[in-house]
Amino acid sequence: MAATTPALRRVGQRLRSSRGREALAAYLFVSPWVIGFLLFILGPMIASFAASFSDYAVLHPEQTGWVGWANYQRALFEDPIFRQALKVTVSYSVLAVLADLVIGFLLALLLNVSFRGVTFFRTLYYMPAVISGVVVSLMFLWIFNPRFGLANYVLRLAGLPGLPWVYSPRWVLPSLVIMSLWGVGRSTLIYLASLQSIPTHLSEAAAIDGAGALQRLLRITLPLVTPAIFFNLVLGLIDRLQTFTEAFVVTQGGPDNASLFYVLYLYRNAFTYFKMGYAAALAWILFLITLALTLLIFRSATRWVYYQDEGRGG
Amino acid sequence: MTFEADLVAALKEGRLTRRQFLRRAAGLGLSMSAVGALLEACGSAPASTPAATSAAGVVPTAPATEAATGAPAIAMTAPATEAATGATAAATTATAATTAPVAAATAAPSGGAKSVQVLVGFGSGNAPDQIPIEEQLAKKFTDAHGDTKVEFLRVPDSDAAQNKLTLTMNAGNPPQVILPSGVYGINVFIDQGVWADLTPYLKKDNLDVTQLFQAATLPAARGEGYYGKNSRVVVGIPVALHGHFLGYNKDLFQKAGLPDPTHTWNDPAWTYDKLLEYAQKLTLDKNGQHAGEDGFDADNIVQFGMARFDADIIWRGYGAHEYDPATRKVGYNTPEYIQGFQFAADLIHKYHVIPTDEAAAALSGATKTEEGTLQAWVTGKAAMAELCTCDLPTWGAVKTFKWDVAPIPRGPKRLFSYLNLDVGAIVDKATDKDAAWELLKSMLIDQGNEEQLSYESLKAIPPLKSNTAHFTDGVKRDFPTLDVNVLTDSLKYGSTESEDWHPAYIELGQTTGPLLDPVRRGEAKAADVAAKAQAAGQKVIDDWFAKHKLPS
Repeated sequence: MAATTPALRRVGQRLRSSRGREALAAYLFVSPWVIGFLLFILGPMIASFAASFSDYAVLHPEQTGWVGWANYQRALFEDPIFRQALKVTVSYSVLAVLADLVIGFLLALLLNVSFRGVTFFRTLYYMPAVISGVVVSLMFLWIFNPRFGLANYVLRLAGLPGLPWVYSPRWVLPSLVIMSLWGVGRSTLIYLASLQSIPTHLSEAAAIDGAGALQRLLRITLPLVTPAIFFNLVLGLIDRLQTFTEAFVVTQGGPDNASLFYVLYLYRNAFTYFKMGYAAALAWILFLITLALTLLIFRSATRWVYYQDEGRGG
Repeated sequence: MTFEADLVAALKEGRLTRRQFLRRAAGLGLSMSAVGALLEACGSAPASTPAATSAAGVVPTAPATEAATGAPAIAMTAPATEAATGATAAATTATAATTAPVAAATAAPSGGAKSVQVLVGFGSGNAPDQIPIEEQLAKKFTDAHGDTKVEFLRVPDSDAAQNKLTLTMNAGNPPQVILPSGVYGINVFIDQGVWADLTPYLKKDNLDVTQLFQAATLPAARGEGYYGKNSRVVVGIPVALHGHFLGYNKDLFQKAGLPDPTHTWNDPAWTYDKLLEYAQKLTLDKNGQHAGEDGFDADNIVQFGMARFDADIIWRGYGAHEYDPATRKVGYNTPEYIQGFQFAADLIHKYHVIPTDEAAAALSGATKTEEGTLQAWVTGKAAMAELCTCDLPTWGAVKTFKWDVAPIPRGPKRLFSYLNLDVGAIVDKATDKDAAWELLKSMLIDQGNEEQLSYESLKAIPPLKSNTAHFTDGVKRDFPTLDVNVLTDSLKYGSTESEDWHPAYIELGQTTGPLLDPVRRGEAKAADVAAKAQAAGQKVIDDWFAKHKLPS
């Protein structure tokens, strides 16, 4: 006790100092997040990693046994539905992310122009992004109804035949991609911030040198917003690979598994088939796929992302 | 996700207005699925209606060391911490005679206030006209049992109920009673060892299910699909039986010059071919020509012969089985299945006597596509419909034409008709199972209570033999034009086998369904998809047996 007293005293002195108090306050302020992270993210991640090597039975965990790599082996080599779910998810992610990048950027260009009421339009385009996915899904279920939905009504007004939308294996993914654009305001906002940070003198100088609007867009604006494109690409891809709500509410994976998204299949294994071990393995495979794609994008960024203050390369 | 599913289902069922839905869904935020699941796991989702909550009083918390006297758990699921001693409410219950329904009132248990949680959502039971009767019976139980309250946990559909039960079981606080649950809901969980074996309770109270209940209920109540034909287990107490039959529009039959179909079940002349013949004559295009006639315009049908005839009935009528427990094989590639499944699709896409959902909705003005076919029946745009006694309050509420009921016709190999059974079951890992048993006994075996719950609330045929007359009287009162004998005889010819347990109970259908759906849509032939469905389905079964054993 006597040996620890000087040490405790030193700690007490440090805490009484202004830097010590500041540090303590900092730790206290971040502790809710750290505790939450440990309990609700890191802890479950470790548990799910362990579960992925087991045949964890949700309703009678006492019967759980270790199965080694069997869950991973099954997913990667034996399960045709896994391959279908992966194919659907990757196809959708590529299409939805591309659509989001292009349309988000074009909208941002429009909203970057100064005109009366532009703030209103910026708010208007962003507002859908804050609406719950379930509400959006329900709304699009109505929009895509082949008989009385808004989409076919508009097509018919234009003299075009109606489409089966989410009720057709061929059209279900394009329909969901269209639906995903409902949230395009999120990426638009990021593009807009990026566009507004471009120094106007660059564009003005180019104009004086005779560059047309398209040239200025392609040679000045676009390179300078590549950090925003990079950001939206990474976040968009991570987000789309985890698509669940749309499939769960709108299509239930159908028709013919044409919209069986990876996370829906994972959910079914966990909570419908009670195969939590297999579901955990699926989750880790998805994590590794996402990680690999993200790293790939990061590595490629050195070739196409341009930071004004650092020169080329990310 | 459960909240979201609940909300979606609630909206679909009209229990929430759009405004309420939007408000609640928006409140969930953008990523509340995980939070929803977490809250579910914590058992904090307030699923009961305000009325139910007030009737129940407080949320139950049964002591962890609840007694389980005389209730041996199923081998797979015996909870390790369950105590085997202690005074119970059931110990004070009056013993009833073997064949006579028991009296509801039993001695009040000693000790503090208890409550029994009842999960409603695995079948019917949440309709506005059903809830008051359930709550009335709950109040009656509480009055008779002193401090034992009943709390209803209402979830909108089977999926939500499944999630609720799974998550609350994981959290260690499952509801004690599931009521009512279709056989489907029971079988989803039966191989997970979820249900308590009720035979010790029945034995203790000197009750014999074979004496009490209709014979048709027993295979499912005993879980024979899983426990085998010699099952000595009782997993559920029957509460409602729903027979299936054909409703037919007498006016349209008369207009077409057709005689009424037979009212005698298993009449050798009443076959699928005869049904098709009638249906063709009753299917008319805008020029008044009927299906099968030269010049019939299938793109402009104004009246269909049938609104609905389930494919699963038809291929069973052809003698097919989805799964054969003797050989452990699925049967998607058998000639019987291929022919039957193809015939079912042909009724829609080749003979045009049954509308697609879309065509029916367009014809009947239904605002929900999935309701289109039966909307076509109720609006007089379809002359026949395969119906269930559970449909009587909705699709039987016909005002604009005369209608009656006929048996399901025979298939080429056999007469098959659905029989849907609802039961009440007790969750094995729940606390205070004795109080739960008292509640089941009060609601489902007491003659007066059972007739209220089965017919007056659920519009079902009461499973208690002693209550059969109540159904007959009720139908005569509520649907005086119908031949009630057709409905009661549906028990003799119907079977619960379509809901029988088989390995990978949900996974099998979700695996093979997408492979078979193109046939349902008329985009493929059954023969062309059979091999693929067979291989995929058999793999699911084989995988199940690689990891599980059937109870011996």
